[in-house]
Amino acid sequence: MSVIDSEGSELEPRSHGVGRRGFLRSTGMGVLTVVVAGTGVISYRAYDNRVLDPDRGTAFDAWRNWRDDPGPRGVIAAAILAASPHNIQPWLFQLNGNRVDVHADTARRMVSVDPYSRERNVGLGCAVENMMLAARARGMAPTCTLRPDAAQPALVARVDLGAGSPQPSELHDAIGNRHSNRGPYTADAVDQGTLSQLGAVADPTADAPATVAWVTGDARNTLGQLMIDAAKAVTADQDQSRDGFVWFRSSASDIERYKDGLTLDGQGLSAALTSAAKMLPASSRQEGDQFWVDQTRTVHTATAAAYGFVLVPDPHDPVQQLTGGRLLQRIHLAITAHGLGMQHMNQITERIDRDQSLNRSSPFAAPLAALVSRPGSQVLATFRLGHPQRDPRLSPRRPVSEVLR
Amino acid sequence: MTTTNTSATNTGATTVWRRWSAILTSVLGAFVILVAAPAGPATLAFGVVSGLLIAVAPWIRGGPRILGPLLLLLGTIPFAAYTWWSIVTPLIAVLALIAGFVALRR
Repeated sequence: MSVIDSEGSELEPRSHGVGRRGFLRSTGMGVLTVVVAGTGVISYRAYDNRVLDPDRGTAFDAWRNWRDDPGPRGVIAAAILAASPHNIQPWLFQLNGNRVDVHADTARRMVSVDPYSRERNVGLGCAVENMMLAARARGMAPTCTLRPDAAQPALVARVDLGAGSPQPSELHDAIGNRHSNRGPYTADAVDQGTLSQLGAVADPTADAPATVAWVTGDARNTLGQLMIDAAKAVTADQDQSRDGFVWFRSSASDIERYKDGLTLDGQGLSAALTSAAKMLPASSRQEGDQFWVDQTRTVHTATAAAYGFVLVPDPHDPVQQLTGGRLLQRIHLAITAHGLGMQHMNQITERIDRDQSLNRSSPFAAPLAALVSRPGSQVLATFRLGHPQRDPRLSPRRPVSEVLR
Repeated sequence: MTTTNTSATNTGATTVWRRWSAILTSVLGAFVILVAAPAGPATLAFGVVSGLLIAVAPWIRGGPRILGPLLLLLGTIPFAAYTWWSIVTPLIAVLALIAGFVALRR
């Protein structure tokens, strides 16, 4: 049947028009349905990885309640917020009345990354320093003995909590705000006066040979290039790459389960990029390695206002490692109190220790030594600092109940 | 008659598409609630209200013509703006606006 319009012209059969419209409508709705289904998958990923509020959950409670307990348990609550390599939290605590024994958790280590336990003991030293600050702020008079029993190498420190009067401090108040900031820093320099103040935070009661040295000016570029080269070498070493990757927590469920390790939120990316990364499938070890090398080149070294070295005479001596860790924690807290950002960057010494453990000379040893102008001192730990562009995020923490023996 | 049948088919298809787009819109509202579920109380409440507004908007019948579009806009824009950095909520908002306005077209 034909349809004739008012002017007598024959029109296209209407059913054809409806067919085209119907086809287009069906196609459009089909595409929309597929896109909505895809959005459902993305929404689930966003839900599963807590995109909207990543700091919620029990893995982050330690940052919220560390001041609650006024007693010795509260001192441990401050200790567990200390820095540690890859956030492995290599500590166990034994509480006996007013005495706290700090033990190394020997199951928590990265063998090829840290063959001489340098970083693990530095982390334990950081925890001890938090304990000392927290004890003083709680009105105790703590005394610390490092490695009190040579027959027990895992017993790294004994802290006796005597009676005293409360000594609040700027460093203590910074404990809950101290985080590694892996994001970009601004181009603003950190002036020499600030660096001098930061360097003066060494605890006068600590019987330690640890000191801090700053790397500024042109030497920054030399050290930055060494760090990039060392990052590439770490990722090219399959053992080191694997040892590091096992501490990466790529989902909210893993973060809640383990309450340790590195996370996407801790990488210093923009909020939008972090969200996108969380909704994509988890990256492989190789992709993660490449990301780290790229970040080292384009962000970490490119935006560092200055670097710092913690120096000791012998970086393989456990007591000096612990002592250097205590100083490193104080510096990090002071940097936090100054509103600056800091990131631990130890890939150079990781490569030097790795080469030494395999009985081969390290291409990084001489260039690093050349940057240290202090005779008789060697680099124990390295970090960068600057004015951060973004606030750092919380890192997961095992609660006190999980680290008490 | 063919013309009558075609017209009836057209009307029937339009009804199906509108209902289907309304269903898609409601599903997108549920996605907003899902994404907000692990968040803190304020964001969660904001997300639940937004998701419910999106979900009911295309089913509004009667009342002022502006009511459906208004609920749709209130459910999508503020929460997407508040959580723009999440990427997923602006994406849901765009899709909900497309599907929602198809469903609301009279």
